[in-house]
Amino acid sequence: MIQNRLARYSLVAVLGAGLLTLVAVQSAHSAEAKKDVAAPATSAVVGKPAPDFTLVDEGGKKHSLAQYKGKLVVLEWTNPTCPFVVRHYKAETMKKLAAKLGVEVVWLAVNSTHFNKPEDSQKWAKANGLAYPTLQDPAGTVGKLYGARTTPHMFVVDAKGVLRYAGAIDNDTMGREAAPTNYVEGAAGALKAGKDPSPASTEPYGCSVKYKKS
Amino acid sequence: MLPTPPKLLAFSVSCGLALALGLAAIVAGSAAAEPGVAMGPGPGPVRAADGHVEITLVSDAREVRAGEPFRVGVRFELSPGWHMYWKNPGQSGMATEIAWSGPAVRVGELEWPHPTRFATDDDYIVTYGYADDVLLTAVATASASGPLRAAVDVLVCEVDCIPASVTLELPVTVSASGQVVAADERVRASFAWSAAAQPVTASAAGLTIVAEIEPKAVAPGDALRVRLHATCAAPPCPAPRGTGAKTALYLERTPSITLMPTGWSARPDGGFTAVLAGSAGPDDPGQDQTLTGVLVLEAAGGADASAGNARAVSFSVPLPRARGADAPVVLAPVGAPTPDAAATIAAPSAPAGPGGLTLGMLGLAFLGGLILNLMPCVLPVLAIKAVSFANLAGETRGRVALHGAAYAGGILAALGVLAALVLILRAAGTQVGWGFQFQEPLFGALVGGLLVALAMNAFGVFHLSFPGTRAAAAVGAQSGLVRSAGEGVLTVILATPCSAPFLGTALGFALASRAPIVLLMFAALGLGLAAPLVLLSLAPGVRRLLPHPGAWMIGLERALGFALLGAALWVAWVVGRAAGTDAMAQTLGFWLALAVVVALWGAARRAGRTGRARILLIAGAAALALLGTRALDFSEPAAAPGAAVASGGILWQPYDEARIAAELEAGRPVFVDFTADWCITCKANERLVIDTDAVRAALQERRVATFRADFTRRNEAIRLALARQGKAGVPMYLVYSPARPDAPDVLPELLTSARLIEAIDDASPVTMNQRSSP
Repeated sequence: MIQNRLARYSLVAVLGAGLLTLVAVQSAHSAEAKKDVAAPATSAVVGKPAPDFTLVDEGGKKHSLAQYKGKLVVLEWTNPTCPFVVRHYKAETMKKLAAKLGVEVVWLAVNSTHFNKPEDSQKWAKANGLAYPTLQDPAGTVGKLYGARTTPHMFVVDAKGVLRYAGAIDNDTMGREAAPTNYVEGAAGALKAGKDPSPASTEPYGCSVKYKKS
Repeated sequence: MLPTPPKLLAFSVSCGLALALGLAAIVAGSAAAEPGVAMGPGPGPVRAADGHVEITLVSDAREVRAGEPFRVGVRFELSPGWHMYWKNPGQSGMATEIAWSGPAVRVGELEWPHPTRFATDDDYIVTYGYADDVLLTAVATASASGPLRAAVDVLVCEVDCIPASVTLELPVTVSASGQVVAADERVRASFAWSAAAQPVTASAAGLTIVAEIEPKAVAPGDALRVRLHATCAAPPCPAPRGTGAKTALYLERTPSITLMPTGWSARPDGGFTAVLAGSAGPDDPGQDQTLTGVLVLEAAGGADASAGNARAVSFSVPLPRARGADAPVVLAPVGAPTPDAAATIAAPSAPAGPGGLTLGMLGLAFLGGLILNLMPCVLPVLAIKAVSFANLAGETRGRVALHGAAYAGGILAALGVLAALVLILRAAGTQVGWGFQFQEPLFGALVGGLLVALAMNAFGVFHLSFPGTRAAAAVGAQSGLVRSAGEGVLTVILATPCSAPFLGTALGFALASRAPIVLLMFAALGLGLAAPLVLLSLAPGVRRLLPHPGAWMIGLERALGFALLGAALWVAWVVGRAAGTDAMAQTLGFWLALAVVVALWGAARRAGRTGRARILLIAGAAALALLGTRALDFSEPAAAPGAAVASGGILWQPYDEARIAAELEAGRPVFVDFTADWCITCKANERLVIDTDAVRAALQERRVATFRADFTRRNEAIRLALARQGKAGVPMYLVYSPARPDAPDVLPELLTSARLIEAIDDASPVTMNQRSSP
């Protein structure tokens, strides 16, 4: 009997230890695995078709990426409470570029800030005299679909619906350059001329996108 | 930045006082020395960003000697919860910038203490920077007395971000007497503290870091993995701070390269391997690049892991660019920072093992063992086991536990033998791959024979009794225990061909490791394999659920007999594939003889203790057994297969590295299927994933050359190819691109058509242009 009990207890101990090890190790690994999975969750890859979406703008009008096929589309992640955005709007970087690119280029601002209301965007558009809509993405779905991490964060989609540029608006992180290189202007210009944008991707700078806590 | 909140508080208070006093002294001193110098904005402290940061310009000397270096610094004191950014701010934010100017002062590069990691709740946006209190320093020299001006641009964030831009000015005094007058002790202490948080070179920290880059040369769009193997002269080495994605590993920005830490693991030699994963962006940087970064280490032992003992180590890894069609040369791998790095990298699966034995590896082996219970190879044995347990329904818990122990023991013993065999063969110079035993027809014949015998037993043709058990029969059902152990052994034997997808990594690692590690890994695997049934047998509730033994069990046992024969059929097919139809016929003949032998044996037992019948039966059995063993002469191997085979509309060429190289040279992508007939996962993948319309279309469209590396029989070239990817067994799927002939895309063992097609698309030579069009 003693022998049996001993066998039983030792077995339980060994297996228990094994299981504990497993749990401990897997919890460490699962974090790692999650990270691995999280990285490619963004489906927007430069050179691949840009993921389609449908969002309403601040006036309630629906916009989908697909409906603009045949035109260049510029997506601008924005947040009027971010000082980097404020700086660019004071300098009218986006407004002037949108006007310069003309009617064959569709400019869509996207606001993925969780606390942004359509009225806020209306006020912002009015105050800045914006000719382009601001798409409302308070849930952050489209922001995360594109992997937008900063405001501003810019994306350029070509007429065939392929993402051709992702990154910063320009090379002027601090807002000190007299004549900054505007990457979006460069990408759009290259695409209009039938060339590949170069650079096709840069590190965006600015505030983090204030996503809804998931 | 600072270690722990209490320490921080003490530091802040003392430093605050010290600085206030020190600065007052500096200002007073310089004002007295140079009354004519017009004071600019002053050295601070200046409150900025809505008061969330206080910025001060400081120096470690009140009076300096002309031309001799001293240190200046800008100190940032942030509101609780606010942070600012390192030179690589991470996925958002802005690097802190300091622009120095002064008519007579020259200031060197900014020295950054190692950063910490900040992230949104869901880790979606990760940034690097400093909280609380930080001093960014630089070495300066002055040729004459004069003001030093620092234009500071800093972004401070909590949730919202506020940029601040301030200019500070500090008078620098060149000593008239030629004597250096140091700053206040406490000001110097803050400089010393900042210096302690600066990264040092790996060798200064007693570490040797070797980088392994995968792929060995990087092209735009490539997925990328960098392993930093760290070893030290006197183990245990310090280990990285943090785990998983939170490992304290910070890279500086590299154009078009995105890499994030995924974790680290200990090495058997006392060091560690830290891993970064990510991808190269769409732009070709046009040149080789260098990955530069900082790794924060905790003191060895980890018990005293306060930040005071943390050490930051800098590293720099050359990242060769894959040359495109313009220059089809792929640079050889280069490791950093030691010259012998390349040699270390070249043999990632050398017996020393590239990574360490970690609980993770053991855990994976254990998990693999658990999962094996669900594999089709093992199920028949489990069914037998379940019946045995049902038999035990009437027994005491102790006895049941003993059976459980015997079963686990059988599994462990069998795995131990297998591990020992692997080790012996390796020591003898024969490298073997996992599942190797099925490459030997004799092994197949014997395992199948066992299955047939068990089936006969299930049919009631004879009763299984093991030698030496008759004596123990009086003591109790000891034979049952032996049987339990035997079932454990059988479980192991049948499980091996199913194990690759779950154990591929762990076993590849184990087989390349030192002997004790191999044994440990196998033990973990065995425990996992044994766990479910043993736990089941120990759970009283489950045992009560088992129906009482009765006539139904005989029916169930018969049914299982057929299942066993089915398994034997599969083994026969494996033998046939490995050694030809003759060998298969021989094997079947052996089994038939065996079946008759056990039937005669059973009849002899029934014939009673006396009588000529019994003797005759036993003699007949012996004669037949002798005859049967003669069937097991597999000395003439079947002709080796060398011809291309078409299967599922795909023309498979036999594995031939020269031909693969030729196809790549010709600009064709290559897909290699590493398979074996005894590998059920391989067969399933071929059926359900590879031989599908979508894949066929992709292979055709991209003009992919397809090769099949058949590991059914032993093949040194294939074993080496597996080992090169760190694998011990099949399946393995490689897609080679003509652009990167040395860096195949290794596809997951649990293959999907989508992943395969994606890999084929990626490997096609005109990728960049084709990908741009929808």
